[in-house]
Amino acid sequence: MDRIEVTNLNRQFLFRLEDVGKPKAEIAAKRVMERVGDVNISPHFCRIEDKPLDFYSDFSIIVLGLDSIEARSYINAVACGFLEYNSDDEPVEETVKPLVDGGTEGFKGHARIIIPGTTPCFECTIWLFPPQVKFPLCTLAETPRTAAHCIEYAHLIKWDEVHSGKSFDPDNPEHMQWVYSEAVKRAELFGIPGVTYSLTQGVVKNIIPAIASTNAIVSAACALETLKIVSGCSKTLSNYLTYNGVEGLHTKVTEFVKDQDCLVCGPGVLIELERSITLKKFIDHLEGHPRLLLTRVSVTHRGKNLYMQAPPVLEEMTRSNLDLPLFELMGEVSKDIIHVNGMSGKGDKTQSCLRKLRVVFKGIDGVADIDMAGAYTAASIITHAQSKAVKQARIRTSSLLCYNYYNRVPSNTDLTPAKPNTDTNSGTVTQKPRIWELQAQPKQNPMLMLTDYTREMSSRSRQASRKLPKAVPNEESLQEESNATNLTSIGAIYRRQSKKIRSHIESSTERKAHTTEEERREKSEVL
Amino acid sequence: MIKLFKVKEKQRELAENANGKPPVKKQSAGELRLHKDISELNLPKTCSISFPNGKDDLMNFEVTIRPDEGYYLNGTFVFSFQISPIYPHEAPKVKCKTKVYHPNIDLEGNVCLNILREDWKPVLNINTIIYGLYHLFTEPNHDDPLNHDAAAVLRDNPRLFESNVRRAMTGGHVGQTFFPRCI
Repeated sequence: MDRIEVTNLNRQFLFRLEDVGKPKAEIAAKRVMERVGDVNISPHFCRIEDKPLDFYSDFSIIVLGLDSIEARSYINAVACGFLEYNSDDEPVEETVKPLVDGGTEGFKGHARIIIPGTTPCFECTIWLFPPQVKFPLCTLAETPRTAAHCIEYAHLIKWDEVHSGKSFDPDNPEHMQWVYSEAVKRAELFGIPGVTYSLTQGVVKNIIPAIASTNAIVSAACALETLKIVSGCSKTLSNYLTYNGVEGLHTKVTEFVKDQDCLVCGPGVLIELERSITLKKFIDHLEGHPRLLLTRVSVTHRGKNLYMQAPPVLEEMTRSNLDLPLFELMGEVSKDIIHVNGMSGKGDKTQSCLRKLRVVFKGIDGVADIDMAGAYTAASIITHAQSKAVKQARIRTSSLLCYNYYNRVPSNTDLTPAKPNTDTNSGTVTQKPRIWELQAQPKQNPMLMLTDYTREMSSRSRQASRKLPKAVPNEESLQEESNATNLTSIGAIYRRQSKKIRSHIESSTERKAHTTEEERREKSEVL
Repeated sequence: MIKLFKVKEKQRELAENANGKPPVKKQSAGELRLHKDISELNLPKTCSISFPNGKDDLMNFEVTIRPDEGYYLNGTFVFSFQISPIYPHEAPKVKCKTKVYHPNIDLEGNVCLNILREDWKPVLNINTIIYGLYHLFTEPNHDDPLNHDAAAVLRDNPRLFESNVRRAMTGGHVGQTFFPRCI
């Protein structure tokens, strides 16, 4: 719902002075279509949440220029919501909707590629964001020390006192003016300098001043990556670029790894069920399922809480669902995603876990409709027996590929993969997405390299990630941290993690003693 | 190269296959994490929770605390919780719906609790917040207050503070402010 403002004109080169006040989407579309022939742009001036899901499903690729974590999280969920997995827990190529995301904040910026099912999605790496800077309410009320404290006092405390009921609208200039004048009064009372109208806007709306160069660099990277994905002309960014222009000039590309247990883009655990099974039987089944072993299970499906173990009031409200068939409770669809939360482990070592399940209901004749992907290829209609035979062949082929790869062939050797399965009756699974392949040389499939890294790092990085050092608040910024990515912190966390991983590898006793001391210190810092 | 045209076809087929209904929005990761926190709630007997919008809306709920010790013994205090879609990245917004004479809760219902603002971490959950709120009643804190009159009285004259709290809870005036009954 962005309209053009005068302060945008230093860097948003599609806009002119006479466009101030008009919707950005419409003017940008108009200007680009004037300059570039043969392109058709349809502007939409509305919130991204207002569009239905099938609007997004029409697009081949989604490029983001958003300004908050919430908006990115929403679009990420939409794009990953289209992703489907086949029975081998691999992403179905036709359901992958790539995203290109960029963001800037002053002198820093990032650009990243999200291929659902392959690269980490936005939620996989959301833990990288440092906590938002918030001032204690009592500081605002009693002991303000900075101009930002005065502004936040007026914004959060004084507003409710005087306008109780009316919600504050940051885009309303009268509201902003009122907050500014109250902040000035407060600052005078405590003798604090520095309250200006533009600082007020910055603090209240979480704005960090933008400069042209950062935006140009990040948007150029995003445009380039979009071109590569759409045309397949070259290897794409893999998968996160950070840019920092504030001290010297620094860019780095990091290959982040997908979280296998990600609730948004992960495959979840595939579960086949009879249509007659009740919710109660399903919950009991999870206790014995080898990949789950969950007790005290609560179940939720598309926002409906089917059964809650706690608190008592919800348990009572959902108890009646236990005797109903799960198929009915899930709206009678043949397959869908469901989430369960429970305790895993035994005795002292129980821990809570939230798991995503792909539930597939067996058809009337007792056959599961799992591998829908197979059915959608060219013209073939496969019988169940045929598809089973093909699946066996595929497993054999992929295990051949795996065999070479698990032997950890050195990376500068030309690894010729086993002949891919070119049987047209089979599904598209063996043809792994070749997004990053350079020319036609049989190089080691980069996606395999990615998963190799995953396995090596998974045990270590999990540990490292739990010991995230507390983000050091930037003493110079007197305002709440904006929702755009704060990259020095990400860089610091990544560097610290890799330091930890390296120190784990070199296991000498002194190092061990040193790291445990460091860990103990870090632990107490985090807690 | 991604088979772009095939992607379009597939989406349409998927949409048609979903029983003719358009694809329904899935739950956000924040809602799922909240579902986990709620299904593991382990509240003391002094605290209870209610869901005014029914069992399917976990993002807005109310918690009632009835302290069984301290200055606020037997009072009933209601807090409203509002969870944002990017929970747990952002702390829940908690406000006190009951007007209370307390050094750390002001007359508008703002609550001064560190884990709700500067000390919030995604590893915390609803249980820890409720315990924190309970703690406010059993151990009110006169340093860094939101209601500085109440804090001053607590610090200088605890006996007067106690009687002020009693008067406020049973319905009465403390200074210029009137407090409705909540006991």
